[in-house]
Amino acid sequence: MKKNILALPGVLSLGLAVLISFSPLGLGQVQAAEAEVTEKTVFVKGMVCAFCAQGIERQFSDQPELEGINVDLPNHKVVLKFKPGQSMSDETIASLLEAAGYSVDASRTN
Amino acid sequence: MHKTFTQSFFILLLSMGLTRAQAHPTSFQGAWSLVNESSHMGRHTMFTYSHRYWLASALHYAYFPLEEEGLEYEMAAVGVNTLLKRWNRPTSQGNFYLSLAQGREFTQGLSGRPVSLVEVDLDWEDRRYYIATGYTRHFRQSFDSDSVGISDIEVKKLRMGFAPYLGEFTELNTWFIMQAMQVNQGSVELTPLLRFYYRNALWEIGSSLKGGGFLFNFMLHM
Repeated sequence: MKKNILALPGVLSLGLAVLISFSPLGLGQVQAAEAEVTEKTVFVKGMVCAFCAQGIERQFSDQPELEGINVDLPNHKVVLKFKPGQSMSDETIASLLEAAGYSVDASRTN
Repeated sequence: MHKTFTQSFFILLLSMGLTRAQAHPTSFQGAWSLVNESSHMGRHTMFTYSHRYWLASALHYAYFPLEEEGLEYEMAAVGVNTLLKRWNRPTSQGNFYLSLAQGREFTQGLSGRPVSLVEVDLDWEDRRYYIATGYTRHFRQSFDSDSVGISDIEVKKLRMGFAPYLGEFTELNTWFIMQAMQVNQGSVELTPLLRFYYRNALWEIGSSLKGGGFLFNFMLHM
């Protein structure tokens, strides 16, 4: 039943319009908050397999500053996505990688 | 007895004939791992918990048919696995592991005898190529004078492989691997095998070139 209602033309767009209208943040504020999300790209020495990638993901997973982590295995790099207004020092990142058994490849940058 | 054990241990380290060439005796901190290798030559199952990426507690179970003694060797042991050295390079990694365990045999007629397990693993891989070697020894005969006719068990392994394509870790990765393995003084068996891994699971299937049987290994990190 619910599926059928959502399938009606205009119902989904009406729902979105209501959501935006009653949001405590205006649409502009939502966009601004999204724009504050920052990223850091770190090249990692020794990250060569899926288990390496999983270990690094696990190591960073409980860091409160992080919104998410993207492990790019073919390019041996990790992209850290921070919550709005949050960041992490290079030393902390290096320390977390070392605790996972890897090291920062300082010779490579974006 | 102690001298024999010490000598053998250092011979192991020096010989570098070096096995469980699947070689993940330790994993990332907090990881539980289940590793199983089985073929007609024997079986080794290991359950580990990694306290650090370089240190894990391990439970072992091993089974080998010993034709020369006319029996089927079985053992269970508890021990530690250590990553003694890791070489991290921009696009590759090398590892040197040492595993030690102490346990008991469950071999028929010899049940309850103490046994020590020593294993050395060395591997290197990048995303395209892989080489690993390992040496495992089950010390069965050094603990008392009543060990005539009981032999230690040695497993030597060498592996080389390559990946035909480079996948993301969220994709299925495939490797072609050739394994040479010898148990005690038996013949060296060559086994081509396929390795697959996807996220936290790895499995391998192969068949001995001698037609001696299938190989099935798996490794699961949790």
